[in-house]
Amino acid sequence: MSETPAEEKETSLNWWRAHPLSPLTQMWVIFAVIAWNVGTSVYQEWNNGEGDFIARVGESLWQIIAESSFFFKLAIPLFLLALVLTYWGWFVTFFAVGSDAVYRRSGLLTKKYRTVNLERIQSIDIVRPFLPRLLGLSQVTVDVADGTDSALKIEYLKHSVANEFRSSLLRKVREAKSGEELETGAHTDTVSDPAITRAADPSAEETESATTTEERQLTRLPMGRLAMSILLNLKIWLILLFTVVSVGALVWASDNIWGAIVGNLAIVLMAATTAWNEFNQGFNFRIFHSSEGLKIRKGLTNSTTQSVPTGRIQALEIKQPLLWKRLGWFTITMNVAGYGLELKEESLHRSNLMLVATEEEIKKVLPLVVAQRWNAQREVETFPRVFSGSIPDDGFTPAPASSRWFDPLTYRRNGYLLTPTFLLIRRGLLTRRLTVVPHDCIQSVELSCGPLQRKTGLATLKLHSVAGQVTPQAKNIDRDNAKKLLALY
Amino acid sequence: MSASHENPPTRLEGPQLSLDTDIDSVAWKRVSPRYLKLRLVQRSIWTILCVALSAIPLLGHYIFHWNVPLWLGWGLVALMLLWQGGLFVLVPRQVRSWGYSEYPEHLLLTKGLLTRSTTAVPYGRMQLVDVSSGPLENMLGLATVDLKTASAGTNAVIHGLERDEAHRLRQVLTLRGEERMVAM
Repeated sequence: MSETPAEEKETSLNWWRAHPLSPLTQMWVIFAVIAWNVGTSVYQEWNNGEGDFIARVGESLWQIIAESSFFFKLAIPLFLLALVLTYWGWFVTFFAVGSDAVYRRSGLLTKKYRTVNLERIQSIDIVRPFLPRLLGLSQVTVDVADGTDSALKIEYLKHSVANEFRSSLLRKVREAKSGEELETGAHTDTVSDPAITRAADPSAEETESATTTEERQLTRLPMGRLAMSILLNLKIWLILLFTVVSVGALVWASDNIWGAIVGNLAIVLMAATTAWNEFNQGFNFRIFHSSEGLKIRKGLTNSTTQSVPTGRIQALEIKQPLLWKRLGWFTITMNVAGYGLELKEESLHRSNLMLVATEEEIKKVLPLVVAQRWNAQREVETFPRVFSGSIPDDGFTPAPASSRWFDPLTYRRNGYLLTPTFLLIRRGLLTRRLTVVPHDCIQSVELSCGPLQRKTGLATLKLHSVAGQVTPQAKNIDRDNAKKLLALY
Repeated sequence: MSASHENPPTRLEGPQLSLDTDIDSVAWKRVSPRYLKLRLVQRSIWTILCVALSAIPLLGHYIFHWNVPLWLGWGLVALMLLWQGGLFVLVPRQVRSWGYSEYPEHLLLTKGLLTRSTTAVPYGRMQLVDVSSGPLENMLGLATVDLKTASAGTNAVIHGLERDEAHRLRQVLTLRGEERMVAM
């Protein structure tokens, strides 16, 4: 059997383990307990008593164990077992750096073998948690783009070794990447030096600072429109309706007015808080354009400035709740690589590209959003127009008539359109949506077909995007058409 | 933005799609027949556990003289046996439904009996590859390949590969991923 070049490379890999002290750091709680008990015994026996000091300390420790509860006794063999297991785990975990990938081999019972291409590596960081730091150890984390977890964690190496390892790996990554054209965006820089680029990360929320570059305000959300948009939320009205009905019912049934009101106060307060938060967050929502890119400024009690990371946008969704339709307002959310890793609350607010926008404003902002990466300014201007679905020849591939059994209300609006840059998916009737996924942002495509769908020649197409608010999928479209989209990217 | 005053085009032409990937005529590589054994063993363990659980009222009736009607105790066991038997019968078909295929630009995966799904992962999207094998898999010389992209939605796991095939696949995927890498 002839070996491929990759195999040859892998057989000559130099495998090594993490530092032998590292397993101990995982059990620091137990060590703290032991240290405490030993320490107090030593201290007590030192102060009082005569005879052999060591023997007395041993005796006192034995007494502690003997007098301890059943669970404490049980904990001792368990601890020893845990110690053996962690050391075993450490013993069978190996790392290796090849010419084009980093490898990790691990697993007690389940053997695992992880391969991370050097070219995929976005950052290599050194982390120094408290306890390993006391032992002079450091953790090295290797990250790929938007993994939900670190691609590779080396726990731990001696600090000097970790530093050396990081710089040599950085060198290799740079060599591996130098073959290609340099990508634009923050990520290539991250590899060159994470510490520096982290400070200059365009996605980081800046504190209000005097900028020398000239900024042009593109849109500003008037307070009236914001307040109106919040009031036109169907959910709030449903909650209020529910409250009124239930208060009424209670009063009618028991004529205990105060009890009914207090009981429903919580619900009303909750709705009010939500509305207030939305108002507070979206207050004075402005979008600026400068030579540095787009910026969003917003907030009433806490004004924030957020750079729009146009280089990292992976998907967009234009949405229109039912009650906004007459007013012609839209909201736009985005999936941004990296946002999925943040706190849910935070990423929720930061995924708003436009909060309550008119068609004119969308036409002003969206072309600037795509300008940096795609030559698609004309394409995005059509989005508000194709959104309604009422234009007869807008190019959309409509959902087939057989899908009316699945989506009786929405099947007329459902459909998709391939443009040179994007895949547009239109759906929904009460809340109308237009999902926009650039072809080069689709990670993988899944076509699924349930038994009823198979009978009617339909299928559901899911486009896997990075974690975020937008989940691009086209439900119940023609299966033969969907098949062709499977090979698209 | 000088073009912003012109009317945008009414109809947009999309890219030409490559039609060579007709998923209905793909020659799927199926998982190892030994993997079926493994699944059957796993299934049996679950079956035994579930049946044992469902027999508790019955045993309680006979041993501890619980006040459980006999028909209910036996009925529970019978229902569980029926259900588990059904699942057991489905296992071979389930395993046979899984397949994968290395296309020029994509790794294709298929699975599912009732809801059939096909996933296409472009090689260039791959972020990392994991090969793992649990104790049972290890005994049978099998391994699982898991391909990860930047999306958590990508579920590109291939179970029950021969160990050599798993490592061959890993190398092929790594190589192709490198050649066709697309930046985020």
